Amino acid sequence: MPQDLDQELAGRDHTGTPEKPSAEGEPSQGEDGELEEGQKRKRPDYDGRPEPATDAGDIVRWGPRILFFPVYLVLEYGLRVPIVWTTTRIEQHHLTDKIAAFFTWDDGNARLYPLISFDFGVRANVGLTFKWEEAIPRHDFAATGFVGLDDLYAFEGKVDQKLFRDEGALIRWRGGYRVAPDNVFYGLSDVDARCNGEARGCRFRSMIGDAAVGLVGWEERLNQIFFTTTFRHARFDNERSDAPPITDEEAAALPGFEDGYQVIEPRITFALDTRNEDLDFYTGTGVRLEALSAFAIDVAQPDSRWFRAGAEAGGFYDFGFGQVLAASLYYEGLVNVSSQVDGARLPVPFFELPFLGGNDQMKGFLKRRLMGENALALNVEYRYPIASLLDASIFANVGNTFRDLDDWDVGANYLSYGLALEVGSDRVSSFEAILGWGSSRFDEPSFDPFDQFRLSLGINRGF
Amino acid sequence: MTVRTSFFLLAALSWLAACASSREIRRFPLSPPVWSDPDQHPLGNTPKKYYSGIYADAMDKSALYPASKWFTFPEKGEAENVNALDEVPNSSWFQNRIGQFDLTPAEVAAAECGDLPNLDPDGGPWRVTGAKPDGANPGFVIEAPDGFRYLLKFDGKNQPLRATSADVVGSKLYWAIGYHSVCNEIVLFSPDILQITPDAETTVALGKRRKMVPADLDRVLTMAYRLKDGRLRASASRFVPGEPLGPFKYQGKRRDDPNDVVLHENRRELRAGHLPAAWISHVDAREQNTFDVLIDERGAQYIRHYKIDWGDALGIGWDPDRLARRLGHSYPIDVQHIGEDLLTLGLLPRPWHDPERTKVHIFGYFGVEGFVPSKWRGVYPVPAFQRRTPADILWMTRIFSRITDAHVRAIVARAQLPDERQTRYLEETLIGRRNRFFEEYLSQYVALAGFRLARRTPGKSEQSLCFEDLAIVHGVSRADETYYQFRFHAGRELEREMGWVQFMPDERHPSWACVLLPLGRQRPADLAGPGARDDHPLRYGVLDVWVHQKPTVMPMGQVRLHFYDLGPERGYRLVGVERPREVTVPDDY
Repeated sequence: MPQDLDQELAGRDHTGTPEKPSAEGEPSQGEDGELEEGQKRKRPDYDGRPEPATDAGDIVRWGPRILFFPVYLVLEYGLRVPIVWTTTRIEQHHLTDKIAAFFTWDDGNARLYPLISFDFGVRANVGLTFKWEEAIPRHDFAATGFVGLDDLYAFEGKVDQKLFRDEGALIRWRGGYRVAPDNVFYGLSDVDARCNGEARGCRFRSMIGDAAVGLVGWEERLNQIFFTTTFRHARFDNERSDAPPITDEEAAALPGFEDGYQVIEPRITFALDTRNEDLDFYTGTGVRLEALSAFAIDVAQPDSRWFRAGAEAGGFYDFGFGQVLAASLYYEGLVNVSSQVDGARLPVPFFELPFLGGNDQMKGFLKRRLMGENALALNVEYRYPIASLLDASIFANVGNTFRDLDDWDVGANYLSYGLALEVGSDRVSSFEAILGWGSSRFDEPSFDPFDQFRLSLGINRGF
Repeated sequence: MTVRTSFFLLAALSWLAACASSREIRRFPLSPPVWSDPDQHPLGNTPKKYYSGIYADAMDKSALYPASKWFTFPEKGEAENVNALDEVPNSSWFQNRIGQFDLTPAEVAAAECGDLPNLDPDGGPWRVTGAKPDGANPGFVIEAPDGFRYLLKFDGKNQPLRATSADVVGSKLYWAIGYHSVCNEIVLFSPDILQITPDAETTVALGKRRKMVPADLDRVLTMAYRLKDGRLRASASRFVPGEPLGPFKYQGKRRDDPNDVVLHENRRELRAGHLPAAWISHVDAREQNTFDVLIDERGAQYIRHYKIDWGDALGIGWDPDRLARRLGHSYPIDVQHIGEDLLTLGLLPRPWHDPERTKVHIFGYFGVEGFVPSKWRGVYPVPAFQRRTPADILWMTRIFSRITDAHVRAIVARAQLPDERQTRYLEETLIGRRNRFFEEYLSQYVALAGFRLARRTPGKSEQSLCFEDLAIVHGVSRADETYYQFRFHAGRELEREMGWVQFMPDERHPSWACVLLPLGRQRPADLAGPGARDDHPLRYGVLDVWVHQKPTVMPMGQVRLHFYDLGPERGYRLVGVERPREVTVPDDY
């Protein structure tokens, strides 16, 4: 008995079996005759059956169709059609490339591109960066300018001089000036109850100019080293600042606020990391140590000087598929080694104090939310991939700044936590969107876990 | 609620219930099935060229189109261009080939190239008329002494041999299935054969065109993979005659084509295109890799629709690797997976979490392990693919079932891989992935195919209805666990059960079976009476076939065969095959 049906039925009468199509036959023109301009041919009746009757499902479906028809109209003709049309025309006429080419020179080595910085609670600002690689042989040049609304601006220039063949080690010359009327102030280690009670804290204006020269080692890699000496000229005022400004009395109580200061600070920072640079195989397990040490002296008042030291040590555990749990402990502190005047050491300018808040530590708070001689924070973060190039992370930090480490107490800490989305392209830095909250102090009678809110877009480096 | 409101509500609900429950008789006509879709009607004006932006299209299909469409609450109806036998007619979109005819492995391997000789690497010079320096596969256009123009594309240093192999394998597989495909072959040649023509042009930055210079050729050849003896390897794609009009869309209709009357997302051959794309992991199966050509034949013009460019298939590796791992499993912007992973902290087990690199590096993550056909995803949700129904899937699976291991080997041989291990790996992987379709779909949907009527006993007029069980053919189900139940209904409302039978496959030929007609002592022709016209409603009957692949109470699937009974002498005529989505069984099943 044949195993194959064709063999079994070979040579038999197949009357009743439908005929097969023609092999490589061309389709025909049909019998529609001449068609008018824009007229379509008649749709063939492919199976010859009457159309199915309307069923209950068809009828029920019309309800939501009618209800949501306006939404469809807006999405389709208000968004989709114009966006697709516009983007198609941009591609078709290479407009993006033409715009990029307009702002590109020297075979792509020199380019101008926009930047934007957004942090809800402080001013957004937009800027332009100009970069010119190999402007002269083995020298890269960059300049950035930012502006925000009403008297917020910054500009910076730098020249990198490459030292070795791998181009990771260089000497950097940098200078810049920044005016910002939106610096936050809540007090130093919580001594200002008034500003602490304001919903947005108090604000003051800073005008900071600096110039630096130093050795930069492998800035874009996990293991880094920096030797830099910086000259910084700082001025402040509380008149042309955002509301609510700090008061004259509060300003007078802040060392360095009224007269400003000028400081020279040689600094060394380094990072050691055992993780694999290559992200491809998810070897995100390892440990990282960042440390810094610096000595600063007020040029105008050489008796005023201090040491700065800090470190962050942490570990990462990769569950195997790019889900990484990280924990770290961060400390930065100042040791005032100023001369004594009238029995007391000259104070360190307030703006030089370690701080928490911003994109690096205690991300649920704005930058400089917590300022004091000693900053201590414990960080926990779980980062996991959610798309090809996108990671999500949930973070929680506990910390505060203290005048003296002896003041440390569990109840004296704050909690910061939230969610971030990060472009997951490398371990060293990533573009982040942060949605975070900060609590009130643990030992406050009416503890509020949602005391502060932060929504930010920016770059995060290191941990 | 008032009495009047209650009354109207009750009436409406009753009507709805009546609509739902009434047995609708949709008879097939007594006529041959439609095997030719007359879509070659001459065009009045030359259609416009359509430009499709890669990023615009990706953004549209990844987010805007699905979001907009969602609010229309579309019904996922059956494909429109399906004939009475649940098959697709020949048209400017599709030509029935291996699904309906026996093609030899040599014919499949030749594919669109047919009997014409391949590009002769010793028959130069090849006149270079243009360059394609950008893109993942750089190349250039040549005019060969055989009179044809070719697009030569090369492999890059990353995954050498894969792109050219994929282009050849994809073109032949798609041709065998029935798509209009191009002639792609591997050619090994010395660069000395190339000669730039004086009017050759290349495209440079910002889409500008300029005269081609030898440095342009050198740039392409420098990036190209070479054999150890210095020869270059390329896939040579023969130009299709006709005027190019750009790609076609996987949704909507072409406004300036009078022949285009079926929404593309409702065309079966486009919907079921998900399956061959999944088979060879053609992640780039998007509209930019389709091609409309204005054909001028016999004084009339019409548009023919091609599939092209499979250079991304067989395991393309993209940077970064975490993107490459996801290809085939998740869209680059996959809203569903992003949402799921966001909420579950990335802890859901995912196929891309720990895929093993293939033993043959050039094929990246292309393998059999972890391949689930229904879950395969390309670079974005293609509108037609999203609308595929079980009937569309089963149609393509039936076509796959006719692509044998020998066909696969013949196709792979055309890739001319230099290392036997690479060839073996590709053969085994393609065969293994093909079998995954059988395992998944032939166990979910009724796998009966090849229905035909035959008078098996010479001299006798009794007819047998015969069929193949593809699930048994491909080892998905066991003959000793399978059984079929047949019930034949006739009458004006198909209310009369004329007979029934139930049996298991014959041990001697488990993959096919026949059942003698009529079932029972009466036949529909008896109801119609002598002299009734051939298409009298009482001559009409429906044979329900329920399939059990396991000894379960309820069947796993159902197929309905429609007949006209022209009497004992002229016999039954099979006029329709229906594969209902929902299995319905009678109360006494």
